[in-house]
Amino acid sequence: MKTQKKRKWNKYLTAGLFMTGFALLLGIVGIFWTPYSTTAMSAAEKFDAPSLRHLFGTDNFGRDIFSRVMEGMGTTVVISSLVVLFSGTFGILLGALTGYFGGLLDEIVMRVTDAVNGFPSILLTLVIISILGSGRQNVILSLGIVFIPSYIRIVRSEFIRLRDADYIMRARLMGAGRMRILFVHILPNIFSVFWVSVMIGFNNAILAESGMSYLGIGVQPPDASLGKMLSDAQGYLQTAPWYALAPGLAIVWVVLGFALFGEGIRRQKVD
Amino acid sequence: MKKLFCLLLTTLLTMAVLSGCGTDGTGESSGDNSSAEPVYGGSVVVGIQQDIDSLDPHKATAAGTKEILFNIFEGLVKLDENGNLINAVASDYTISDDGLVYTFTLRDNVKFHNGNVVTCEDVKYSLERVSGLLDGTPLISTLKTIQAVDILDDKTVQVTVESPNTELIYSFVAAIIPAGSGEDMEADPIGTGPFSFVSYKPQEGIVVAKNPDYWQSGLPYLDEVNFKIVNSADSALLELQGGTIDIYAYLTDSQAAELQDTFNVEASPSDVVQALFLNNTVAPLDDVRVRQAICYALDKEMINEFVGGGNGTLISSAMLPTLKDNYVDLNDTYGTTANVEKAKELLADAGYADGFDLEIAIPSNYEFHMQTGEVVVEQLKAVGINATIKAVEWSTWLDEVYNGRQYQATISGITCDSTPGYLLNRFQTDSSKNFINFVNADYDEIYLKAQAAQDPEEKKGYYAQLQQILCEEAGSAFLQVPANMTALNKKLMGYKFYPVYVQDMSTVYWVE
Amino acid sequence: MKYFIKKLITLIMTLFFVSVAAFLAFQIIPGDVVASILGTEATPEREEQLREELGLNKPPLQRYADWITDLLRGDLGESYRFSKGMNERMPVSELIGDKLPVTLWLAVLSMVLIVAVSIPLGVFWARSKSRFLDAALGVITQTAMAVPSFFLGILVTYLFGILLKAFAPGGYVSYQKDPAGFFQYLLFPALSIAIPKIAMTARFLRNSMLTELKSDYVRTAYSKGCTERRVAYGHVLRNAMMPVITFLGMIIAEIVAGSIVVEQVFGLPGIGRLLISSISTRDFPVVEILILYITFVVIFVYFLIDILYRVIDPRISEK
Repeated sequence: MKTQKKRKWNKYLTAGLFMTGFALLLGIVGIFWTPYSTTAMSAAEKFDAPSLRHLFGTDNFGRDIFSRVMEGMGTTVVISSLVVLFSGTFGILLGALTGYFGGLLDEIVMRVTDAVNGFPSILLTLVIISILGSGRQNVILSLGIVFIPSYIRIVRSEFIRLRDADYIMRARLMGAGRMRILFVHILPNIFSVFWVSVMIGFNNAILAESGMSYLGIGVQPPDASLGKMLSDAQGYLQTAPWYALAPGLAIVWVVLGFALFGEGIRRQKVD
Repeated sequence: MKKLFCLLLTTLLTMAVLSGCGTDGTGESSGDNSSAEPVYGGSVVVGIQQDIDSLDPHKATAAGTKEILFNIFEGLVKLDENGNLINAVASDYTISDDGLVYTFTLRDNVKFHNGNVVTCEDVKYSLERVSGLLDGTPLISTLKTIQAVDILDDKTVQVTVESPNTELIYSFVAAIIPAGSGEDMEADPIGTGPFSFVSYKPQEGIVVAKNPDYWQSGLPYLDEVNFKIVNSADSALLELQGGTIDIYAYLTDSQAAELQDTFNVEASPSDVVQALFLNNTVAPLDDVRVRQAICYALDKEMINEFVGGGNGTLISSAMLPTLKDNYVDLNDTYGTTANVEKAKELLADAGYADGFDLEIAIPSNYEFHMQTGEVVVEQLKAVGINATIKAVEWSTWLDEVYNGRQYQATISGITCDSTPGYLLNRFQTDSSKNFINFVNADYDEIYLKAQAAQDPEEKKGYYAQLQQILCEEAGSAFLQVPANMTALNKKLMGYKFYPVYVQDMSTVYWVE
Repeated sequence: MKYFIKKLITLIMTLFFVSVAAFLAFQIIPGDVVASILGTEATPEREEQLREELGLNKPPLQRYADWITDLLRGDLGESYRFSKGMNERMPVSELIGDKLPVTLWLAVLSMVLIVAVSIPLGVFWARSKSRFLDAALGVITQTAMAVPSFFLGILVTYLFGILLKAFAPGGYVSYQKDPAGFFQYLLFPALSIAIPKIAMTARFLRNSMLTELKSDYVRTAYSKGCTERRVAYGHVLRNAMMPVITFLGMIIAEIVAGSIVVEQVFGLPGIGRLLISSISTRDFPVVEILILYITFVVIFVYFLIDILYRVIDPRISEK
C-alpha cells in the first residue's frame, strides 16, 4: 500500500463522512426535534404506507416512523458513544498498565480478557442485564464492560511494542517518570491505531445495542430504539413491510457510514 | 383444570368465553357451516404459547398447561362450554343439607387410558392425594377442606369436608388418576379424558391421541392432536400462514386482521382482567385522589382500540362481564374516555399539581401488556404524570412485584374462572395474593359476609358492593377484559369456547 | 509440549472462572426458579417441597461444590424446569443433546455456504481486471458487512418466506422427523448468518491475494514462465489461504454467537433459544452447562487455530 501514489481524494473518507455526518445530524436533531411527536398515537393513522406526509409511514400506534427512526438513531448514537467512551477509557488505562509493566497484573487481566473474549458478547450482556435490570444506563454499563477487553488487547500490544522503542529508552534515561512516559510519550503514538479500533468499536456498539433492543433487553418503550422497532415490526411484516425496512436500513446506514469512515482514516494514514 | 377456584395471574390472552350467555358469535365457532358432515380421523396442530410446567394434573399450575391437560384428564365433574358443571367420571352426586357430605356415584365403565376401569379406589386415591390426606401436602388448596374419603360400595364414594362452601363443588373437577400412580404422572400421565398422552418434548410440545374408549360416545373425532409450542406471536402468525399449525388462540388484533380471509377468526371475551395495578401503600399512590386521578386520566377506549382492535370489553372493577349474574357495570364512575380536567383537579387537591414520576413494571414476555404500557404512558403524560416502563422478566416480576410487592405500578392480567368470589378474594387486606396492598375494612367485612351467605341473591348483593368499593376507592385502574382472537383452519369445525382456560379438542372435526 | 500443557491449564482455568462467575451471577439475579415454576399459585408448602426437591435448600457454596463434583464425574446435572418421566428431572445432557444438532447444523451449513461462496468470489475478485467490477464488489461487500444478522433474518423472511414463498417462516421442521425438510428450512437462517461473513471473507481473501501477488516469488514464478492461471491458483491462492483459514476459524466463534440471535428470528429450537429461555426462567443447571459449552467451543477453536499456525510455520513455536 505504501507504494501507492497519493489519491486526490479519499473516497472512503468522503463517503464515510457524508453518511455518518448525515446520520449524526439526524440523530442529534432527533434528540431535540422531530417532525412529529415520537409518542403521540393516532388510531386513524395506523399503518399508513410511506407518503410525503409520513416519509417512512406509520406504525401500529399510528406514530410517525421517520420521527421514531430519528429518535432511535439519536438514542443509538448517544449510547454507542458513551459505550465507546467508557470501554475506551478503561481499555487504555488497563492496556497501558498491563502492556508497560507486565507481571502479575498483566497475567490476571489477560486471563479475564480471555474469558470475556471466549464468550459471546450478547450472552454476557444478557446476564448483566438480568442482574442490573433493563434501562439506558444499564445498557451502557453492560456493553461498556463487555467491550473493554477488545481495547485492552490493542492498547496493550502497542504499549509492548513501544516500551522498548529508542525514543522511550531515551526518555527514560533522561529521567522521565513512569506516568509521564506512559501518558505523554507513548499514548499519543498509539492513537493512529487506536482510532481505527474506536471506529470498529463504535460499529460493534451500535450492532450490540440494536441487537439487545431487538431481544427486548435494551432501551425500553415508549422510547424509540431501532432494534425494538425491528422486533415490533417483524410481526407486521406482511401488512406493513416498511415498518421493518426503515429502522433496519437506518442501522445499516449508520454502521456502513462508520465502517467507511474507519477505512478512510486507515487509508489516509497509509497514504 | 384441577381446580376451579384458581386464579392465575398469568398470560395476556387466555382462552375463554362464557359462550352460553355471551354475545352473539361466540359459542360454536362454525355455526354457519354446521351443515357440513363431520369426518372422523385426521390430526390437528394447535399452537400454544408456553411450555408445560408439569404433566401431573394435580401439580400443573400454569394456565397454559391446564388448557392441554383438559383433554387428557377429567374429574368427577367437569365444566362444559357454558360454564356449567356436568357429570364426568361420576354419573351423579348429592350434597347433604349442611353442605358437609358429598356423595358421588361413579359412571359405569369409564376406562383409564391403560384400559382399566375406574374404581372407587382410584377416586379415593386421587382425592386424598390432592387434599393432602395422603402425604400431608395438599396439592389443590381449595380441597384442603376434605376430611375423609370413604368408599360406600363399589360405585359410591362419600366425601366429608370441614366447612360448608357453596362453591366447593367446582373443585371436584380435579383429575381422577389410577390409584397409586401419582409418582408416575410426569412420565406417563394416565387419565380418562378424550385423548391419551403420547409424547412430550420440552420446548416443542405435546402430542395426544384419540382415546377409543372415551365414555362420551362418538367423541372425539380426531385421531391425533399436536400441541406445538410456538416461539412468539410473530412466528405463530407465520406458522398459521405456512400451514404448520391449524389452531391458534392468542392472536393479536393486527394478526387477526391479517388472517381474516384465510382463516376462521373468532373474537371472544377472555377470562383475564387486565389492569394498571397500583401499589396502594407507596406514595403518592397511597392517596386515593391520586389513584382516582389515574383512573380518570386513562382512555380505556383508546387502549382497547390500539392493543385489542376494539374487541376487548371495558371494565372498572375486578369482575368478568361474562359472569353476568354477578357483574355490575361501573364504567360510569370514571368514564371510558380520558377526563383530563377531573384528573388534574384531583392531582392538584392531592398536592401533585405538577405531576410525579411513576414507574410501571411490566413482565416483558407479554407483548400485550407491554403495548398497553406504551399507550398508558402516553395518556398519563397528558395529566402531568411522568410514567416510565420498566420491563422485567417474568420470574423477576413474580419475585419483586407479585410476591415482594416492591413496585409502584404494574400492568398485568389476573385470570378468573367461572367462580365470581375468586377475583374479589385477593383484595382482602390480609390476603396473601393482595399484591396491590388494598386496605379497606368495609371490604374485608363484606367479603366475609359474602362467603358465609348461602342464598345466591344475598351473595350477589355483597359481590356488587365489593366491586363498587374496589372501583370507588380506585384500588387499581381496571382496564379491560381482552378478547381472545382465535384462528381456526377453515376446514375445522366444532371448536368450542369455554369460560375457563381450556382448549377442548374432543368436539373438533375436519370437514371435506 | 510445555506449550500445550500451559494452554490446557489456561483453558481449564478460564472454564472454572466462567462457571464461578455464572454461579455468582445467578446468586445475584432477582427472581427465583421456584417462584417461576409455581407462578402465582404457589403455596408456602409447595415452595418448600420443591426447594427441597431441587436441592435449593442447601447453602450456595455446597451447591456449587456438589455441582462441580458431579460435573467432574461426567454428570451434567438436571434441569430445574423440565421434567422427564417418573417424577425425574430432565437431565441437562439429554436436553442439550436434543437441541445441539439444530445449532450445530446451522453452524455447519453457514460455514459451508461461507466457504463455498466466499473463496471463489475472493479469487475471482482478486483476478478481475475490471475497475467497475472491483468497485461494485467493494460496495456490495461493504454494505453486506453492515447488515446486522437479525435484520438480515427479517429481510430473508420477507423476501424468501413472504414474497417468494420458498419456505414457511417459523415452520421449523424437526430433524428427527424429516431431515430433508429440516435442511431446507435451515438454509434460510444459515443464509442470514452467512451473507455478512461471505462478504468479509471474500474481501479478506482478495486483499490477501493482492498482497501475495506483489511478493517476490510471484515475480520469480512469472519469470520462470508460469502462466497467470498457474501462478494464481498454484502459488498465490495457497499462500493467501493461510490467513483466510485463521479468519474462518475466528468466524466459527462468531457463528456460534450469531446463532443465538438468528435462532430467535427464525424460531429455531437450538441451544441459543434454550439458553435465553433458561436464563429467564432461572434454570441454572441448563444455563451453566450451556455457557461452559459455548466458552469451551470458542476457546477450543482459537486453540486449534494456534496449533494449525504452529504446524504450518514452525518458527512461531521457537519463539
